[in-house]
This record gives sequence, C-alpha cells and structure tokens, in this order.
Amino acid sequence: MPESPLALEIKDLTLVFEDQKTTKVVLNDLNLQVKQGEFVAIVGPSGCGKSSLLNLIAGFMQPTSGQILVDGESVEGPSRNTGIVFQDYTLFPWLTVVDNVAYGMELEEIDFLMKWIRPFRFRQLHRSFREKASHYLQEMGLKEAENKKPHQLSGGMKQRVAIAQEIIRKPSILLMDEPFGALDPQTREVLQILILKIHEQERNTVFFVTHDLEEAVYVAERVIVLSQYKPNDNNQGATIVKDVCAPVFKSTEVKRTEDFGGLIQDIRISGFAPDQRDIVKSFDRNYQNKADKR
Amino acid sequence: MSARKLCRVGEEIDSRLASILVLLPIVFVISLYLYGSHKRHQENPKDRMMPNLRQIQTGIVKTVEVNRRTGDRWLWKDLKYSLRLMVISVAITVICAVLVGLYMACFSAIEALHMKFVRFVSFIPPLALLPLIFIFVGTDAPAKVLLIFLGTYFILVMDVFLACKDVPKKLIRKAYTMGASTVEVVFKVVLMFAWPRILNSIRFTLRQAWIFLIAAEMIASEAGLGYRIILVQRQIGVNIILWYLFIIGTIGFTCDFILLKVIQKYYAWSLEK
Repeated sequence: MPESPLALEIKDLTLVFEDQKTTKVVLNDLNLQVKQGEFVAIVGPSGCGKSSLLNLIAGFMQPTSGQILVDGESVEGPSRNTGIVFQDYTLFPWLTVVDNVAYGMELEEIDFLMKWIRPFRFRQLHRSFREKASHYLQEMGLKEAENKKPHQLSGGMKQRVAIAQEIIRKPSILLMDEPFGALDPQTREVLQILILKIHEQERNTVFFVTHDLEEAVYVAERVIVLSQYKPNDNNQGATIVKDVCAPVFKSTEVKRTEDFGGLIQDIRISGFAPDQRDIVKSFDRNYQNKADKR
Repeated sequence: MSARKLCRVGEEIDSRLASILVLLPIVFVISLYLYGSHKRHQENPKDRMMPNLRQIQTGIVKTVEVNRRTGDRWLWKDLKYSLRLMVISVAITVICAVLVGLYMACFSAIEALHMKFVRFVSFIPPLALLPLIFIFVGTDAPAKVLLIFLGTYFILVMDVFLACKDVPKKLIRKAYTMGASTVEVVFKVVLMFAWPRILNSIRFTLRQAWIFLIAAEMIASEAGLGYRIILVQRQIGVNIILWYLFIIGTIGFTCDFILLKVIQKYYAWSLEK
C-alpha cells in the first residue's frame, strides 16, 4: 500500500489522432501520479494536447494505448468521480443558479421517473438539495444571485456558480479546463483566490489546465509542463518536460510576481515555449519550399 | 426623433412611433377597400364582389345564427370541425417530430436510419400526394390529418434535429460527469436546451398546418372553414369569405402570439446571445 493514496495515475499514455491522410501523435508515453488533495496545474503552449489530456481523464476520449486510473479505478467513460469546469457553457441555462447547483446532486440521486412514480419522495429530496445548494451559495457570496438565471450573470459570477456546482458534489478529482481564460484580469485574480480558499478548506484534488504560466505557479502546488520536444517535428507528440513543486501561496497572501518569477524563468527555459528562432526558421523553410514549387 | 436617426442601420425607434407604423398598413388596406367598395356601390347598389360594411354584417349574422335550411350554426360547426382536425394533426405531428428529431440528434444510428429518407421525402410536395391519400385513406378526417402530417412533419423534424444538434457538447459531457444516465441526458439536457427553439419551429409549423387544412377542406369535406369558403364562392358570397378569412387570420395570429409570449416569458435565456 502506498503511503498516500493516489487520486490519479496515468501509465504510459499515448494518444494518436488518425484520419485517412495523416496520423498525428498528440500525447506520447505520458506517466503521471497525482496524490489525493494535490493541486496540480498543467501548462503548455496552445495546441500541445493539454485539453486532450483532460478529456482523456474525464473519459470523453479513449487513449490509443496506456491506462488512466482515477481513485484506483480505470477510466472507461465519463463518471461521477470526476467534476469538470470548462471555460464556457458550464451552466444549464434554463435553471436558476440554485437549481443549477442542486442539479448535480439531483442527476446523481434522483431516478428519471421518480418525479412521477414517487412524487412525495421526489419533492422531499428536491427540497433538501435546494436547501443545501442555497446554503453553499451563501458561503460563496452568491446568495443574492440565487434566483437569477445564468444569462443574467457576469462571466465571473457564472464561473463561480460552475465551481460551486462541482465542489458541492465532492468529486474525487476536479478537472478545470482553462476556467478563467475568458475573464478580465481583476475577476480572474478574485477567482484564483477563491479556488485557493476552497482548496485550503476542502483539500480536494484539482487538475488545472491553463496556458498561463503565472496563473499555474500561483494557484498550484505542483506545476507540470507539457510540451513537444521538437517544435519542428509535429509527429513527436507531447510529453512532460518538467514537473516541479511550486511555492505554496495562501489565499490570504497577496500575489507578488517576484516570489515566483525565478521559477517561471526556469520553466520558460525548459521548453515551455518553443524557441522563437526555430519557429522563424521553420516558417522560412516552409515558405521557401512553397516558393520553389511554384 | 430625427430623420437621420431613422436612416441609421440597427437604430431603435420609440414605441409610440412603432405603434403608429404598425397600424398604418392595416388602416391603409381597409380604407382602400372601403373606397373601392363605395365606388362600386355607387354604380350598382347590389354589388356583391366588394361588399360594403352592411353586407359583411349580414354575412356575419348569417353564419352565426341558426340556418333555416341546414338547421345548424355554420360558424360553430365549421370552427369545431377545423379546430378539431387542426389540434389532432398538430399534436400528432409535434409528438412524432420532437421524439424522432431528438433521437436523431442524439444517436447517430437513428440519424443514419432516418435522415436521408426524410430529406428525400421532404422534396415531394404533400399536395402531390393528395390523390394517393384519397385513393388509400379516403376523403374523411383521417385523410386530412395525414395530409397535414405529411405537410408539416418533415420540416419540423429537420428543425428539431438541428436545434438538438446545436446543444453544446460540453453541456452534455458535463451532465454525464454529473452522473446523468443517457435517458436523462436526452430528456433533461438536450431536450430542455433545444425546447425554446423547438417551440419557435412549432410556430412556423402551425402556419404550414393551416395551409394544408384549408386546402384539404376545399377539395373534399362536409364542414370546415375551407369548405365553407369554397361553398359560398358559388353564390359570390364574398362577404362570408372575407369574414372567414378574418377568423382564420385571427386564430393563426393568436396561436402564434401566445407561443411567442410563452417563449419570451419563460425562455428568455434562449433569446440572449
């Protein structure tokens, strides 16, 4: 038995996209272990396969080879063990905020036909879920938005509700796919602090995907850099190029860049961004090839 | 409001001006008609082609009171007949189209099974099928229900399909991770998300249904709004025709208006972009 149980274990994961003409290796031989209660951020340049990795963990896609275990169980398809927060479209627009937060519990606990077969039990459960959701919203400072519909909220509020919706279900692992990518800097910072606070309280396992290195270093305890070795060779597939512990910030601390600037510099050098000169060179070469053909 | 503002693209106008503009075409058409009618009556006081208000009034009275020859009230009989047919056929169409369209959008197998067929059949004008319907089903109420069904189902099912296909994949995925079963995803996520758009499609379906209802009644029937219109045409009963046209328009407009208000009131979220 390991000392601390693993929330997520990825073994030799490879993902290949194939269509009639091309094969593209997206992820190549990935190995990763995440302990329970750990806050892990995955960073990498856009298009490196971060979101694909997240989809694999959530069970929306099947890997070409390798294995993913969440809570020791192999991922076969989407399951209630995982919670997910997307950048957009994370709320059910026809429900009020409180119903949105309660909907997760409702889908989990209430049978499809219970409303008609056992209406009293249904109403009882429904009311208890709503109360719980309402209580939770109060804690998160969303009490006054409780009876609004998602389209009446600002982007930051929506995302807060989306986080509440998932946290209240207490999933084994919370996946976040660039959750604050569409927000303005101020709101983004407020939400970063919020997610830190929640993590301090609940100690839930969070798997946070972002392309913003600074954000990753600030919120996470551990930063994993996903990148392709050679920017020129597309068929290589991404692997983990760096796996470092980040300084742990408390939600009460003010974020200061100099506290982690060195680490960011360090990660940058390790291949977070492909070398700019290489890109220019490859562009030149492609351009030259095309010109020759003409 | 300045003229310059009126000419700018996408500019709102104030509500008083808007209501004047709404009334303008109605007032225009009515006064044009009354003027024409007045002119014709000056030449021939018994003119029936463009009846004046008094003639229309006698027409209305004739349809509302008990008819001496047939012993019933025309308008009630026709309304009952037409509305019953309408409700039955629209209900059947909507239930079938929503269920089939929903399942088509959710399951590729059902899409493959149904899609190409629907698209092919939807190109055959339903009125062209009328002779076949008369031959196989007869000319009674079932034939009319079938005609309305054929005339509206294929458009509605495509609309429902497209509306359900537009449900964001992320929402479906999220529901799955929240522990929803497939039945729940279909009915509690996809259908709920697409429902306002489906209601909107039903508004247009109603319009189509009226066309086929009136057409069917005109060709073969023993009662109904369309039947009466064709019947009184022989005696140049333009006054009754105008009155019936007004009723058809009012019913159609009311249904459409109610549905629109329902969408605006209960599904305001779907109107936001």
